[in-house]
Formats: sequence, structure tokens, C-alpha cells
Amino acid sequence: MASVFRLLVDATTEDRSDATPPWVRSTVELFSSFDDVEVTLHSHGDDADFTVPAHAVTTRDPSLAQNDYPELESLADEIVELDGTGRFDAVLVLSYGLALDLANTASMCGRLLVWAPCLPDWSSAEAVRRDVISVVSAAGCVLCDSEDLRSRIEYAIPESRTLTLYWPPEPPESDGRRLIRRLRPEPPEVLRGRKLRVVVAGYDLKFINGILRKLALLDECELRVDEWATLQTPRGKPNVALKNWADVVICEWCGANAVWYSRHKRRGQRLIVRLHRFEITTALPYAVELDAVDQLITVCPKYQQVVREELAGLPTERVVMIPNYADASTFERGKLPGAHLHMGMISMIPKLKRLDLALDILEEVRRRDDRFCLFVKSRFPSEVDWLWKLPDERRYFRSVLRRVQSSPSLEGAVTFDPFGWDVANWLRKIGTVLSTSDAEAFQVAPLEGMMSGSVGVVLPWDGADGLYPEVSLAPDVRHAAERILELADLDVWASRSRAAKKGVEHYDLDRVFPSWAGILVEDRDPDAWP
Amino acid sequence: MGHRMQSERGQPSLQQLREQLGEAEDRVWELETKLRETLHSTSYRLGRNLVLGAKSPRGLWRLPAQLWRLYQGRGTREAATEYATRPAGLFLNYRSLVREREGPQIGLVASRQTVRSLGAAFDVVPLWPHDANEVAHAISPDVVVIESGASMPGQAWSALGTAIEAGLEETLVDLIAVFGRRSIPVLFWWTTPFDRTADLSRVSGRCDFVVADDSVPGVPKATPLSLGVDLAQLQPVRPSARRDATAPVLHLSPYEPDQRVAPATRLVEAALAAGARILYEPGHLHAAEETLWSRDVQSCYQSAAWTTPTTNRLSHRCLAMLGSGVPVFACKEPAEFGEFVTEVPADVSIHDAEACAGKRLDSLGAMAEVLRTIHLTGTVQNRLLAGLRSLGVDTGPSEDRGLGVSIRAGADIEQAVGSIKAQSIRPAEILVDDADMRDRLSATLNSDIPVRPRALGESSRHVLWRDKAWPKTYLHDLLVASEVMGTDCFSDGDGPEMTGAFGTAAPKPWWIEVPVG
Repeated sequence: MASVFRLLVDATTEDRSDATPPWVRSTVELFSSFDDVEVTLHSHGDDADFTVPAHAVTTRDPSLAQNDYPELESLADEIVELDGTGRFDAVLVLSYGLALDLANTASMCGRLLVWAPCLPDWSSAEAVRRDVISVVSAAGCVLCDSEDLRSRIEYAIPESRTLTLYWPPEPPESDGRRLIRRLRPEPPEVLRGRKLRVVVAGYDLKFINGILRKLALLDECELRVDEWATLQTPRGKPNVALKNWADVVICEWCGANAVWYSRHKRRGQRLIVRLHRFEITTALPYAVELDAVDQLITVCPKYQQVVREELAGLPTERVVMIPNYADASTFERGKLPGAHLHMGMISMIPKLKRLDLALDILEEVRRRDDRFCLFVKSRFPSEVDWLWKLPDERRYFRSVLRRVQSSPSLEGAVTFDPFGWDVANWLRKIGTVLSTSDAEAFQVAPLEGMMSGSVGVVLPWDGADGLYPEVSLAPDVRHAAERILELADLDVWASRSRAAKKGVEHYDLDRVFPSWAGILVEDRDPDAWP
Repeated sequence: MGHRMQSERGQPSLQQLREQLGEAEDRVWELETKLRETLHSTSYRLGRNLVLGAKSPRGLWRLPAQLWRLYQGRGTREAATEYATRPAGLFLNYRSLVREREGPQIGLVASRQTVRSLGAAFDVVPLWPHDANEVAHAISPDVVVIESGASMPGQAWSALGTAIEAGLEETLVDLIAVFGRRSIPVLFWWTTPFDRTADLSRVSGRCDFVVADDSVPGVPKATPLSLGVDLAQLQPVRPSARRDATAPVLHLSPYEPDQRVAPATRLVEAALAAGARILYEPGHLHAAEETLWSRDVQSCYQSAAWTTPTTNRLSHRCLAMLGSGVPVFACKEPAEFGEFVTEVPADVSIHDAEACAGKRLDSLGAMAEVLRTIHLTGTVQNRLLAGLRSLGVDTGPSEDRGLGVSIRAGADIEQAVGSIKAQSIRPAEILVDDADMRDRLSATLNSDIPVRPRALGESSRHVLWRDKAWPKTYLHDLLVASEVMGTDCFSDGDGPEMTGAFGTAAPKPWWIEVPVG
């Protein structure tokens, strides 16, 4: 039986009005209807219009007369006192002032639920913006009454990676469940009763961040990160203290981090290494002490096979698969009008991403329907110094960009959007997401795109079949263009969009996370694949 | 037949030239990289410190500390971020930058269709989101046009004005500022139904002009556009029998809320932007303008070694004109003139004021005549109208549209009439609030200029006259500005700062060279 989720709701509004906003009522009613949620309503004054649901607990202060509201500071103190040593799993506040006070209370960090419309206009002054950032950063989740507000917050406060959610006036049960899962993920059965000390070592953690966030919220795990400067070099010296502290070490990327941890593994320690793709083309995996590796995770069947062949010293049963994932709650957003005419490509570097093939598709499409255009969200090749030093890469990108400059059918039809982490936002204007690479292990871009409701069009790079829905695979440029042209019909696009979403739902973070939790303590079935 | 690399005459083919260019660019890039690496290498910096240190006892004294700093910073790569500089060849509209300019040039943020259409009539430089700002620094268009249709689906600027593309909006606002600093007028052109276009008011509000086709639903009056001025307050002319319902209306945004640019300044700037060959002596420009000038220009001329601020300011402006191909500048005071010419490129001919073959103008009225000529022959608006015509929009005979004066109750009739009679621009009509006022004004005016009650509606472009406290020249300023801008209505807010800006526009000697021929 799952433990009870305790939610405290403070209904004090910024204007101290007695009227309880309707969404608060529906939110409280929603959570009160869950058997495993205990809602505590903290309010002052007589909310006569608000019938507290049967399950909810009220904590009205009888010493306060109607409309005799205490100052926000003392309200914050009251809530902190009520919370004690972390009695509540989440605290929902409606007042910005109160949120600001609570955000400055360390014990509330990560448990605050902030109602976005209460935030002031942060563009007015830098001081206001700083305060809003502190509130949003301290929040476990920011609830937004519109997708636009959600986008604005994410754009304006890029420093914060706090979860944002669209919270409709009458939130459905699934939204409530999702929010609870985000704030307090259910510990998988295998972890119950344990207390694991986990270290994650690696240089670029973007492909594992979602997992880490969830692990960090589990009582069963204590998580620390050993961040490396590059694939080959640590930041400063390798962290011996962390290595000695950990029960489990996860090496994200099979680089020098894996080499070092495998050579210094403590007795009884569990070492898990994840190899994506390109590492196998370097010497580093071959320098890993393979006997020390308990599990080597690959992200797709093809690379499981490659690793088994290349790293012959590693018992085959230790080479397992856990697919890449995308967080559906982040990517499921409404599309903008006209998105069905927009093709998107995430990352064009290095050249193996084959921007030229994407241009081939675009030209083919525009020959018949010039309403279509392509957006490329990527770093510009000349901005990546290691890449731009390679003559082959330089030559390739010069020729491709020259083509964009000179081809009449591409004029104004290719837009390069700046690189950034706001992919979920950007995907709102993308109806079709392209994958034209020569080689990938499990490209996340089409997965994120399809998760967002874009239709995937994947050219058949080796290993792509079996990863994405069958319908998204196109044998060549001509077929890809044909499929995209069909999407000009909004109904066709809508049905394909639904199919794409359905086809990748098993890659949702919530569905993939148990595999990660399991592998921390026990070996995974090498043939297991969602 | 294989790919032909060499043309029949033995000239290098386009493909060969491209490859050569690519190789040359690669070579330049490599050399620049090597140079940067050398300059930031420890060996170079060590050698440089030693050499400089050995040059003087003071340098020698500092040497140990410098060497210690060098030791501490060993292994760091200071130059790493410099690779981010984008080689010019990677601008996507590179072709626009390298080709010869052909006639009037328009920087265009617009839909592809509009780019194509205007491209047939003008030298168009399309500005795409990814390198608009970089390209903006490399071109000097006569005018920049931002079309609302650029934000529609299927366009490069798609989603502009929505929350998900706030970055695009910032790019565009920066772009407007870049052109604004260079006094290149930026026009916002509504071509899409207002209610179906994302919120572009922040962008349009920063443009110098907002142009709307009357046929675009919702734009001219019914929508709360944030343009820096309240259009409702300005009372734009309602469509009437004299005006074609599809004719474009040019609403003027006389100042931006945070910059307070005076219309008088704008008037001059518009004339300059239109390519007018204007000679003027800046010392007599009103003092208020001093504070209205943009901070960037202020800092620019303050950093130069000029002695007279006004001269410096104008010198700066004229130098910019010279740089952009506008040929002439002269100054009334030979001394100041001499100061100025030290900075003038050698191949530019300078007219001494006394020897100037141009026409001496001693009043704003005379200047207005010249500006009117300029307006009719080549202002931004007329160029734009030509563009609209090329798109098939019936713009009507814009030069025939009259210019009226609207006088509000409470105005000093005698003062208003005195001012109207002094105008070189004869108003097409005078609109008043009621019949009593009409009779009084007609009697005082004693002219065949029609005076009509406002209830019948304004039937022409007009200037609003409503405050008896305004100086006599005020109406003149408005008329001239309105005429030059071609706006439907020209007025100001009620703020005292605007009145103050106008207050100094009393007639002063101006030198204007009338375009020859």
C-alpha cells in the first residue's frame, strides 16, 4: 500500500479577498478524491462559499476574526511550523508574497507548488525578476493556467529547470496523478527498505537528468554527482571521497570516467556504465577494466550487439538495454496554428546528421507545396570550435549553407533557430520532426518530437527500425516527402500526430524509470526491451 | 556528360569559383585561428612580457608579478570563445551583402511572398531571424519594412509575437534599435487581420511608422495598438467618400514613449532618409532637441574632438549621410564648416554656404515647400506607396489628398486664423466643433478655404489644432511634418514635453539646397 501524499493548500490570495478562486476549489476537490492523498486546507477568514471536501482537513485559526488576516511573514511562519519536520509532501500557495517567503525557507525547497498567475511581471525590474527566479527555482512545480504563460516563464527564467505544468481550471485525474508522481515518485518495489548511496559520474548529463531528478526525490536514494569536464578529463582530480562513499556508481558515457571508476572500484560497490554510441569509436571503452563493470547499458539493440562484439571481455549477459526516454509531461503541449506545415530538425552537427538530406526533402516537398518550411534548432557549426577545425566538416557545412543561400526553392524556407534547452517550447510550432542521420544509437530528437505530437519522419539509418513507430520510417527522400505532403491536410496530420504519440508512449520517463531503479540493485535481463 | 568544371572559353566555372572561394575562406579562417592561438599562447605572452619588461626599469619591476600571473593562468585557453565569430560567408543572405546595390534599398522582414513581390520593384534585402542583426550592421537600406505577415505560419518569422518565440521578438526589437541608431526609418506594415495575428504591438510600437491597409480588418481604429501614441486620441481620419476605401493609411507614431523624439527632429530625419540633399545650419535648431537626441549619438559626438555640440551632432549625422552616398553638406559658419571638413572624405564635394548655388530659405514656410517637393518625389512613404502599387494595392493619388486643420472648441480663433493664413501650405479645409464656431472662424478667416462642422466628418488628412497656448509656429510644424510624413492626422499627446519641443521651432535661417533639376 502506497503511503499517503500530504498536500497543504494555503488559500490566501494576494488581495486577501475571501473568494476562493474556482481552480483552487477544483484542485482541492481533485486531490481530496484520491484515497492516498490527504489535503490540509490552511485558511483565514470565513470561506463560506467554499465547502471543504469530506476528506480535507482544515486548519482555520479560531483566534482570528473574519478578514483579520495576519501578515504574510507570520503566515509563512505558521506554515513552516505546521509543516514541522517535513510533514507535507507539497505546499500549494496562491500568494506571491507568501511564495517568496517560503522560497527563502530552505526546508520548503522542492515542495512548493506555485500558481503561476500570481507571479508579478518580472520584466519590469531586475530585482523583481531575481525574486521570481528564487520562487520558481525553489518550487517543486509551477502550475500555469495557460501554455503561453508556461512558455513565457520558461523563456524568461532559463536559470530555473523547475517543472512547469499546464493546470486547467478543471484538472483531470491524470494530471493530478502525474503531479503527485513528479513531486514524490513511487519507489519501485526493488528499492523499498533500502538506503542506497548513488554517485553519477559523467561530463554531459542531459540524457540522464530526468532519471536523476526522480532518483533524488526518492527516500531510498541519496544521490551525488561527480561532474567531469569532458569525456576524457575530470574537473580537477577524480573524486576519491565520492568513490569511497558510493554504493552504486553510474558512469554516464563510457569515457575516462568509466575507466577511472572501473580501476578504482571499491569492494562491494556496484558499477554501471552507459554507452551511447560514439564512445565505441574512441579508445576509452577498451581501456575500461571490464571485470569491474556490473552492467553496461546500451540504448538500443543494435549497439548492444556492437558492444558485445567490440568488448569481447565483457560477459554478454552484462550488456543490457535501457532505451532513451522523454518526459511526456514536458513535451505534451498544444501546437500552434499552422504547425502542420512546419518541419523541424533538432541539431545539425556534426555532418552525420545530414542536413543536406533534410534540404532534399524540403525541396521535394516545396516543389509541390511551397507552404512548407524547415526550422533547424541547433548550434551553428562555426560556433563549435572543435568541429569547425575539421576541414571535412567545414567544407560540408559551407556547401550546404551555400545551397540554402542559392537554391531558389529554399529561399526564406530554412530558418536556423538558436540552440537552447527550450526544445519542448520550440516543438509547439513543429508539425513534423525529421531524422536524417547517417548513424545514431537512439536519437532523442524524433522521440521528443513525437512525444510532443509532431509526426516523425525517420530516414532508415542503421538501427532505426524497431526504435520508432513503423509509420515514421521512410525508406528514402522521395517517400519522406510524399508523407509530409499528405500532412498538409490538417485531419491527416492530426491522426498521424496521435499515432506518433501513441507509438512512443512506452518511452515516457515514468515508464523507463523503473528499469533504472531496478538496475541499481540487481542485474537486468539482457533481452529486456520495452 | 560529367560535371562541367570549365566553361568553353576556359573561364573558371561558377562551381570552380565557389570552391576557390571556399578554400580561400578556409585559409583565412585557419590563419586567423593560428594568430589567435599565437597571441594567447604562453610562449608568446612570456616573450612579450620579457621584452616589454626589459624596456624600462618600471617594466622590470612589474615583471615578476606578470610572470606569476602567467604561471597561474597556464593551460587556460582565453581565446576559446572567439571561435564563435561567424565567418561572413555563412550569412544566409550573403548574396544580398556582396552584390551591388540597385536603386532604393529596403530591408525586409516579411513573408516570402512579399519579399518576392517587392523584390520585383526594389532592391530588397530580406532579413531572416538567424542573422538579421548581423546583416543589419552590414547594409544601409533607405527604409526597413516589417510586415505583420512575416509572423504567419509557414514563414521564417513564424510564431513571432507568441510566448513561445519571445526570442524572435527580442531579435526584432534589437533590429529596430540598430536601424534606429543609424536613423534608418523602420515601418511596420499591417497586412494581416489583426485578430488573427499574434500580439505584435511591442514590435510595432517601436517602429517609426505604422502602415495599415484599410482593407485589413480591425487594424486602423478598433484595436488598441500600442504605438507610442494613442491612435484614438489622434482621431485618425475616418474613411470617407473622398478616400478610396482600400487606400493605405499612414499613421505616424511621433515619438516612442521612452525616447521622446520630437516630430521636428523626425521631420528632418525623414527628409534625410528620403535622400534629400539638405544643407542646414544646426546652431539654430531648438535647444530642446539637445535632450531629445538619442544617447548613442550623444556619446558618439561627445567622444569626438568637436567644440560645438550642435555642430558636432550635425557633423556626425552628415558624415553618416556622406558615408551612405548622400552627397552634400554645407554649413553657414565657415569656421564650423572648416572644422567639419577635416573629417570629410576627399572625394566628396563640399559647398561653401556663401557660394552655394542652392536657394536660401529664411523661413520654415520656404523649407516646407522644399520638403513638399522632396516628399512628392521620393519620400519613404512614396517609395512605400510605389511598393504597394507593385503589389496591386490601389493607393489612390496620394499627392492629391488634401491637408485639413481641425480646430477644437476653446481654441483662440484669432490666433488659429493668423497661423493658418501664415502657412505656405494651404489647408484643404478647416473642421470645427459647431456652427457658431464655423461662422466666427469663416468671418475672421475671410477666405475660400471651406470651414465645416466636424459632425460631417473629416474628409481629408488633417492636423489637430486645439490648444490656444501653443505658439504660432506650432501649426506650421504640424502641417509641414504631416505633409512630409504623409500621415492622415498629425498631433501630439497632451504632455507638456511635446509642447516644449515644438516651442522652439520659430522661424530661423535655414539653408536648404533644392535638388537641381
